[in-house]
Amino acid sequence: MTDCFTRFNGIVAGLEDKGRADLRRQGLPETAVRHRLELDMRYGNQLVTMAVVAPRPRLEGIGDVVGLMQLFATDYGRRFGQGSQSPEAGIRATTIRVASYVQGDTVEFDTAPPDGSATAAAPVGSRLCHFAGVAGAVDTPVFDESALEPGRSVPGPAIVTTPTTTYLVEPGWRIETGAHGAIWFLANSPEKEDRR
Amino acid sequence: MSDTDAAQFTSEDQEWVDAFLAETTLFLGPDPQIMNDHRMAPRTAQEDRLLSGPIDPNDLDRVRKRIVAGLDEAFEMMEQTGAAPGAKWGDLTSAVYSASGDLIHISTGGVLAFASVLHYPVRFINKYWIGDPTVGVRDGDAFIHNDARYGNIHNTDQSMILPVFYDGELIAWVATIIHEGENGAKEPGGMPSSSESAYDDGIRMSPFKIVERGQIRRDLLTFLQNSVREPKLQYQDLKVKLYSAQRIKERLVALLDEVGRDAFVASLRKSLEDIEAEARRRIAELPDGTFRVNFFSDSTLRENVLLKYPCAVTVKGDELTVDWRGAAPQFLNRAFNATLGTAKCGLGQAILGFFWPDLPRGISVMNPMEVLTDEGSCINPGLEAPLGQSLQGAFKTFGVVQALFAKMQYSCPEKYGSLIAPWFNQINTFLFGGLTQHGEFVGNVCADLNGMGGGARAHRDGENSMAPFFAAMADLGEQEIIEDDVPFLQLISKKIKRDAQGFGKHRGGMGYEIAVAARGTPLWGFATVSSGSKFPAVPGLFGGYGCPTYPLAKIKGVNVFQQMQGAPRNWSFDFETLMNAQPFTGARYTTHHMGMGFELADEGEVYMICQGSGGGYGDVLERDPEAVMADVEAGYLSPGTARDVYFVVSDPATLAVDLAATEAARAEERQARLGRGRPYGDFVNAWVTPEPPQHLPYYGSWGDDNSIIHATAWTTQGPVRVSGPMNQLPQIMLPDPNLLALAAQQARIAELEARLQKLDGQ
Repeated sequence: MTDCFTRFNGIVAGLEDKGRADLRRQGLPETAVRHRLELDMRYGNQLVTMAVVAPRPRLEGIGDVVGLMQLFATDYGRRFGQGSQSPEAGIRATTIRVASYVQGDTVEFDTAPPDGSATAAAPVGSRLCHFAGVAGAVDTPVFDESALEPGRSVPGPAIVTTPTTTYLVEPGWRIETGAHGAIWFLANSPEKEDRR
Repeated sequence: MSDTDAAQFTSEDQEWVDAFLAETTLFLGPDPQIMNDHRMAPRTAQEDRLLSGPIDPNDLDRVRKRIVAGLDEAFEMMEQTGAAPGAKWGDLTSAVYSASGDLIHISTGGVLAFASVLHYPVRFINKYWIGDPTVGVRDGDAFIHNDARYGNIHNTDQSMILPVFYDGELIAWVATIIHEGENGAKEPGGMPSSSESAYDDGIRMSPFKIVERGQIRRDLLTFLQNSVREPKLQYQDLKVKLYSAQRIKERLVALLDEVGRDAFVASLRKSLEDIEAEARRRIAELPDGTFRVNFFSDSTLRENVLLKYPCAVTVKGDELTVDWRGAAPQFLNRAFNATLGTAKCGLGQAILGFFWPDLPRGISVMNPMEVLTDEGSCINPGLEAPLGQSLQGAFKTFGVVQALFAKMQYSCPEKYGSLIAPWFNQINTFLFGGLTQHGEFVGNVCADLNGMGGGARAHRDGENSMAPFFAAMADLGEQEIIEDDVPFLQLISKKIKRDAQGFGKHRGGMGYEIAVAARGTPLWGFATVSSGSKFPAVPGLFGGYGCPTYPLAKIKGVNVFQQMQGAPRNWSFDFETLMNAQPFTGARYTTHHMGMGFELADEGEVYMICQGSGGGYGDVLERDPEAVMADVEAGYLSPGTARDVYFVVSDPATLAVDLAATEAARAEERQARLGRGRPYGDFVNAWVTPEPPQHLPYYGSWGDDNSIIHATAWTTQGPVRVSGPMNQLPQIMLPDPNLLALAAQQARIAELEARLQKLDGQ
């Protein structure tokens, strides 16, 4: 990659042409198409490759290659620890990828925690459960997935069974479901909140 | 000084002697006091104090889960960033220890067998290096080791052991360890089956400090890089292990900040004590008594022999005694010897992998267990014994223990793992070495060993090509990625080997075959390192068959890549057909046992092996005939085997089972069995001999008396049968089999020359 810039840039241009053609076929205006050049890179023979987004869409000189190596090293260090990079083992770019896209609208999600206005869900049964720190068995309400609809609240102790997982709500805790279906485990006292 | 004088030592005398010896130790070899102790250390005074108060089970649970999460994160890091084939496909682990060096837990993925062996080097560092003014243990240091005599599965595995300090106090240890492969041994790849002395085993690192103040010491790294065939691998994975261990350390320090020092220390100890208590409770549920099995290996990896591995497990109350006495003696110039620590890995693996797979993976699971071996046996050898293929010992100790567990738990109402026949337990794969397409010299191992067949269970067939018995979540490797790194192709790639099945009511999981050939390299070679070509590698259970034997097959003297360009249809995708049809003119077709020392391969020469099967469960006559024919339809079983072994009669055109004819055939076979049967006493009288047959190169006890070991020793006069207690046997050193073959040829030439002279004279 240090001496084949023309070939490399030809591959990138070819991929850009294909991406542009794909988007045009889908009815998007050609002038709105943007491209992002990504290289999957790794050190030596390791399994993991990491995508590096090239700051410029073409390689013009060694400086561009060194820049890519530095971007890769920075991201690698962020993930695995500064100093863990091993460029001495060789750096390989295993994939050249061009993402072609047209900028669309952004959906804004509501990330605020529940405001306390949730209404209690109705249990579908109960069973005896043992909890750490509580002597003897506790008759614990069991809920189904309807308890997890947005705006619902389940006070602990409780069990919520769904087709994919089971939620255990310990005594002193509750769960509330936010607007987009995010399930919040909330403690009833600040002391327990620290242990969340 | 005589013993009488020594007995008159005052305590002051003893102190002087101890002080003198402590200051004048010539050599800190493996410490028997450390190496013979597989149990956790006693409680420290501080642990005693912390555990005298109440412990919040939620805190304990949180500490343990956070530790496991940190270990799994490090495991994932190593798998993703490691350069060794072993790292990429799951042959590694990460571990957390108490300050005393007790292993608290290892990662969820990876090699479980490490759980019973990784505490030894930490204890060595604790005992010898902490107080040594020339070494010391400080924050930012880390130690490396690979020598199994100091505690390891085998010498291909390299560790990074790192102390965790908190407010200036050494509070825990963490370790990361990877099967690196290449270690400068006699053969490339780190597991030399032709090792003839401990010094053929490659570099042997006792635990030493490779990292100081967070930096890898370049002088020592350079020494290590010079000592192995893969300096790049040595460098890259050292970093990988260091940064993964540092990640665990970061997680532990964050956990300590959160729960506090006392809760952390108390939780580690409580976790271990809880594991022991649960192990004892489960042992107490087992019926008291002694359970016995005798099993054998057929190979030193250089020649065919019979090596005995007896096992007697005694359950008494809440304790187990595992008795491996009577095993074959150590061989001083063969590679299959395993240290006691390595041998115990087989026991630990059987327990944590299959018997009680739900228990946390801490050292204390083996606390209620006593292990008995003969010093000087191949599973408790001296320091000079070669260990190049020490896995053989661990595989056998695993196999015999697993064979007994099903019998021990059969009548227990509560079982913690399935009733299972022994898992296949040989590494039927290729080691390789040579120059890659990238111009680098490498020596390592193919991940194909990870396709071991599972044992049949009481309720279902074993899984085909499932996982190595020592690492349930290991991977087979992506062939395209492998071929990007090394210059050989799999011409037959992972096709289930027909008829290689542990037959039974439920059959063993089958293995696949592979064929490899080098291409585009100026220098390349292969090796194989397995037994099981003459005697089954694993037994069956309750009437099920063991693993069938398997050969190594070669097509040499021809470049099949060239051949296939001209006549591609000559190739077949199973080695049975290739070896029988012999489609390439001028090629040499040979079969061998699976212990092939490293040999060079020209381009396009083909080496073919297959994985073995897990053991079968129950009587073949009880197998569902439809299940038999489903295997025929899938190509796993030949119609002849379905008929001859399972007595299933079917329509050759449609494969439809003829149920009535099958039942008749099976009824006839049951009658035939009655005819062949003998009362047990008659059988014993006719079958049992006082000694092993003279012609058999036999090693180990004979019959029930495990105190007398029989062995075929070699002298200048040739092979001589010897027997006696282990400590009175001569050392066993076998001649080079190639020299024996040469001597036989020379004798034959001399004989023919004499006849020729006689004819000339007439």
